[in-house]
Amino acid sequence: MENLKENQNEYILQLKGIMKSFSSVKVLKDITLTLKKGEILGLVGENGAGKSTLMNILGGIYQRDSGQILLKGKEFEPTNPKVSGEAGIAFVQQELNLFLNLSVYENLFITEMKKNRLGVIDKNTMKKITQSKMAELGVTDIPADALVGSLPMGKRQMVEITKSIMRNAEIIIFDEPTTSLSNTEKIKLFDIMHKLQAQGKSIIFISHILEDIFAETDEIAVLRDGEIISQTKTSDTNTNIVIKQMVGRELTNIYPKCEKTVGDIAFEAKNICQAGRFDNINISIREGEILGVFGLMGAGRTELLRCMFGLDPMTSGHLIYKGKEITPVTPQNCIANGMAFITENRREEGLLLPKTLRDNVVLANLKELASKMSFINTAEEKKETDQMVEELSIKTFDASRQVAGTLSGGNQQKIVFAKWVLREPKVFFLDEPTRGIDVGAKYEIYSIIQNLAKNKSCILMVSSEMEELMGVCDRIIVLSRNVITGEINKGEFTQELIMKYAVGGTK
Amino acid sequence: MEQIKKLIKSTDAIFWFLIVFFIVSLIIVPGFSKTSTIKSVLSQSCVLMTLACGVHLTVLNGGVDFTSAALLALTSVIGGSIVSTNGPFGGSAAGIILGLVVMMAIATGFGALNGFSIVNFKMPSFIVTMATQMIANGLAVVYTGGMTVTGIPDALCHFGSGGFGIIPYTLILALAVAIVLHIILSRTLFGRQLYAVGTNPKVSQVSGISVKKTIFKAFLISGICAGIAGIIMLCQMESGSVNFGGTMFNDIMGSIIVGGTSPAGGRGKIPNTVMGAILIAMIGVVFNILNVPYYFIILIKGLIILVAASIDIVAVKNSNSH
Repeated sequence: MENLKENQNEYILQLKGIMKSFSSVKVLKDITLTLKKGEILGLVGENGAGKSTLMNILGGIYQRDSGQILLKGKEFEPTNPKVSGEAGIAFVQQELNLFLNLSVYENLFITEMKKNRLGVIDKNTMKKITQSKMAELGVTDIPADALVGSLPMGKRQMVEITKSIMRNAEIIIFDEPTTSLSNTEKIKLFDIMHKLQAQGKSIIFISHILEDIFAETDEIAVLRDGEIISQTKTSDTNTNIVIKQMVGRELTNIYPKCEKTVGDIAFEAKNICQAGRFDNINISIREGEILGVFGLMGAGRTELLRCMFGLDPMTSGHLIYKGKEITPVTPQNCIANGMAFITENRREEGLLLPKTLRDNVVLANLKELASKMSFINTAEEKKETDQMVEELSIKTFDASRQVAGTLSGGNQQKIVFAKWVLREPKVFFLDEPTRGIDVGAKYEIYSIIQNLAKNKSCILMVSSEMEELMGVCDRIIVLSRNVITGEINKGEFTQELIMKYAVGGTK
Repeated sequence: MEQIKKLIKSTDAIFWFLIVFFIVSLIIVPGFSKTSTIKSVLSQSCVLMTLACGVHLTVLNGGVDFTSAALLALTSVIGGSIVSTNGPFGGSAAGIILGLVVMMAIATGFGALNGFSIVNFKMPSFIVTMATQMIANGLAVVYTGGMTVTGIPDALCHFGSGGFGIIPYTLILALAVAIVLHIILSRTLFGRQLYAVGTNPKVSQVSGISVKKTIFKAFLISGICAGIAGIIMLCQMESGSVNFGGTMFNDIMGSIIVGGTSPAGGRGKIPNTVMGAILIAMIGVVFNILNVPYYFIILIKGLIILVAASIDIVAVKNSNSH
């Protein structure tokens, strides 16, 4: 590694007047951003503000329309990912770019396998180098020949990070790295980020979690509507200011206030058993109630929801809505009986990414749109789509032409909601409904959820963000290792109590 | 002008490819403009068109259907033997009707077998349909001992070779199948479900679509189309033979792919496959007239498919970007 005696204040990266449009939509209007050597810069902004586009330009995936990029003071043209990589820019994307069916060392050396003198691939050298690079980051518990697909998300991310230092990256960009991590893994990640910083690397850290941004960064840049609104030292600003800059308005409430009445018990899940996992789980939800489910990773939250919706087998148990049993428990039958399930994985299980918004919005309602002869009523389809786009404030240029995969995360999630809201279900299962969504869009999603409750739906909401549950729910149950360990009513919500149940302490 | 521009943009590459090839052939190939030649092209595209439309549904699901071509052999020999003037019904109307019904039953049965196996045993369509193809071919050989079935009644022969001027009767049947399938895919509930399942089965299931039923129906319909194709073949060839459909699989997939349907599933329209089938048939006829050797024809077909498919993929990529 070159050891230039550089002034601590020298910029390693400068962006001046970057502009980018897609068709007629201006995504980046005039980006001016600086990154100092050895600094951690936090980048925040709503979904749709242009963060991903900007990073993709730096990474050579998109080409900018105009503007200048200076790398170490010299003009830099990231024409493609290879050029960008060789120039020392590394990405740790939200969706990791790893080959799950290959081992750790194979992933790290995929572009340049080491060969011995005979020209044969030299596994031992590669493994040794892998272990030592990981050790540099303080990672010692991942075997170099482990199959990446067998590693949990946190460890996979470590592999991805190691990949970036292998290529002697000088600038490392972390895009929403914490969304799939447990708390311990998060701490480890930040530890590594600081280690990299100590090694002289410069880091751009993109995240929605302001708590983390304020704890780990030296400077914060706020992106809104394609422009950098401000770039200041972290110590010179605070959460309220940043939120206001991100959203452009005062957000006095993070959680909307809701006037509603909670009625009698309407939905009951009785004696839910799943061989090898659940043993007589009982849940009841009142009309208009938002019941939160908290649990640490591996507690079984998603598995419970999937089981109660018929996506995974239920060995025994009963689902009852307003006295009437819902049987058999299959997705079609649950849906026909007024249930809805918003999964935690919108890209894989929630949306048909290559299809249009319209195709996605009507997907769960197709049978109702079909006449007796099975013909789809396209006029009605358009009407319903437009209604949903309006109701949920979804930003799109044309619902019948725009493809779901091109929407921002927040808007994608709204499409998933639209798909279900269209059917006016009475029981909603929500699994991490605001994952990967910015502050402004989160507020809108919370409003949507509150409205559903106001309209007398029963809502079961799983989330890893305790504060979110405390701000939105009427009651919280806590799951720990497939068992309900506690139940807390609104007036008694405290972080300590919830965490106590989550780690296994019972009432 | 705007309207014309819009029309050009929304028309797929295969259409232009077909038109260009047709015009070039008219100019270069001697005797191409003769009505008998054109009729021959249309005629030869019928079986291919019907088979390809059926297989199209299975490709939409990211799968394949190897059985279709083999069903041509099986249905033509069994059906042929029932309708034949040398057969048990002496070529009577009752025999004809029974024969046709049996052909449809066999093809539909195989379609159902495919669908059932793929859905219930969770096996890839590649393996299942390859197996049933071998079974169908084997049964055909066992049934006839390798002999060709002859003595097909005049009524059927007339259907196979006659027409309204340049338009063969068989083309009308083939186009009818294509039109029905197109309507099903583009306008009905099942069509939507099939496209959804082909794009992402997990999402479809969570949204309440029965992935199993949808896949089963796709293969069932493919079987039905194979049955109809078998009837057309029987009438056109005025015989039933175990050799029918032998090398047709390549042409079937070729028609579908050159039409722009992705083998990965989730998108692709029937009219494009129809045009693809006509193009492939046209290539065959044209090169025959030009006395091009057989192996060379295959090479050219392959190249044309490659080029046409790439053009379409690039066009789709551009229209989908951002």
